[in-house]
Amino acid sequence: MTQPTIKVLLIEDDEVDREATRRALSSSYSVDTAAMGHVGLQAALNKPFDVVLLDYRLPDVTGIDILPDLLAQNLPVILLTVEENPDIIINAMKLGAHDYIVKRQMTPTALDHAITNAIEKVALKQNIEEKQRQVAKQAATLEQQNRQIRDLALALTLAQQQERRRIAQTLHDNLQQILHGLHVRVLLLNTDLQPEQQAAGQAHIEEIENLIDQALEVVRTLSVELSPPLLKGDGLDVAFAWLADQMKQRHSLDVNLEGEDNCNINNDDLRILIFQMVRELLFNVVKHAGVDQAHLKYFTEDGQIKIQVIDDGSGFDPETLNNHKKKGALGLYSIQERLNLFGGNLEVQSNPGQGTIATISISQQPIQL
Amino acid sequence: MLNQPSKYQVFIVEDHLAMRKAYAALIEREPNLEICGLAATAAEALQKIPECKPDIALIDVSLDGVSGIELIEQLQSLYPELLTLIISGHEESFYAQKALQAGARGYVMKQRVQLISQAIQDVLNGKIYLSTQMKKSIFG
Repeated sequence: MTQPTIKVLLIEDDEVDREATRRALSSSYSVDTAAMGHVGLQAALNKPFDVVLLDYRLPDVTGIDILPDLLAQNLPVILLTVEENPDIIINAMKLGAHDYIVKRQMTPTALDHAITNAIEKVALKQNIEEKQRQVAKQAATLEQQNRQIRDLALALTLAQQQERRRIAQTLHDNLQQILHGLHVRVLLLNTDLQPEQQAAGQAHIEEIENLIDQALEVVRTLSVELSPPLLKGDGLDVAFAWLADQMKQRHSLDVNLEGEDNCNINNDDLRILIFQMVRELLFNVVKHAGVDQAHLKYFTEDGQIKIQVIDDGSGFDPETLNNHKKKGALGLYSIQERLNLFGGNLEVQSNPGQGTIATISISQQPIQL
Repeated sequence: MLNQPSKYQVFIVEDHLAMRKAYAALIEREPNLEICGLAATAAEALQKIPECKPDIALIDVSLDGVSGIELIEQLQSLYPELLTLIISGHEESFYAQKALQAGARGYVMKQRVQLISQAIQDVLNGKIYLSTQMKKSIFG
């Protein structure tokens, strides 16, 4: 298959030069000519060319004047000059001309070489631009997918939160109440029995009461672990006071509270999430720090709510947090990820033997949930 | 016919039917107590209490919609003479202080079934009913 003929636009006012160049090209190229700058530019706008040979000195304009408009058509442009004037050549190349030829050095081979190179350069440039466009498009798609993933993760976290609350609510409002009711009925049954029947059944009744107590404890613990019994509008102070009490009762950890009164998170879902994260951080103290005391501080700073869990325990190398498989690291990583979804952050300062300060930061006006 | 000594009128606000019935059965065993009404929600309680004029209301802390503590606040402003006792499945440490601040005269945990009647009697006798541990925590 033959290659399509390359179409050249020659803008040259000197009749002799024009004819000589045209002849040099005519065997391999299709050549259109223009003797004036504006005529040549108009031709380039009206008809598709593969390359432009542009004389520098024209009667109406200089080649430099129309060079930008020609380049805007994605045309390779080769400047033709009478002499090798560095100022003109450097200026033209800076503006984007693809090559230059000094007329007295022009040979068919030099022309051929310059034209091939210029066309290749433009093709390469277009190819790169196309690739860049594709990369930018892929980046935009990735960014959009990232946003979608983030939105989904946020929705999933909230859905999980709501589901936990729903299960905790069901456990508390139904199963726990039924067990309480059963407890009352056993008490009443016992008082209804004749003394001799009471004596005979005492061991059974005591065992039933014992089993009901155990069942209640299981249900109550599960319900509280799934979702803390925070009332709407309760502040962080109330929640943390209750948490400190729980940590003392159940895990023998003394939690010293130090907080500002006006420090609160208005969104119920977020408040419960933050509460659960603080609880996880306190569990970490119980499990890993090897101490029986921790400090829980909460305050506002630069429009952010900061909550710090501080211990003087065994500490660790914070680098290990990057290894998610390491024991304990996944929990902190998970807190960090969940906080990020709400525009928050977790900072952990620790060193082996020097205790740990874990700081949760979250904006007072968190992202819309 | 002998004159029966008048009984204290008790009103129960509890959203779970089985629990309402169980408390009613428990309270009816007390010779000086009588159930005058039952309600499942705060709204129902506010509607029935003016009719049956109880001496004491036993109120569950967790009610649908308006909470037991909010109900006590409303009842205190409407009927300052009415004694109120919170009954709750939640830890005392979480709600007891709030309940007292709202005007409740006591807080008894549902787990302590055998103490419910005693709690009612104590409140009717002008005492504040709390567990020993909670009394210590609140009053020192």
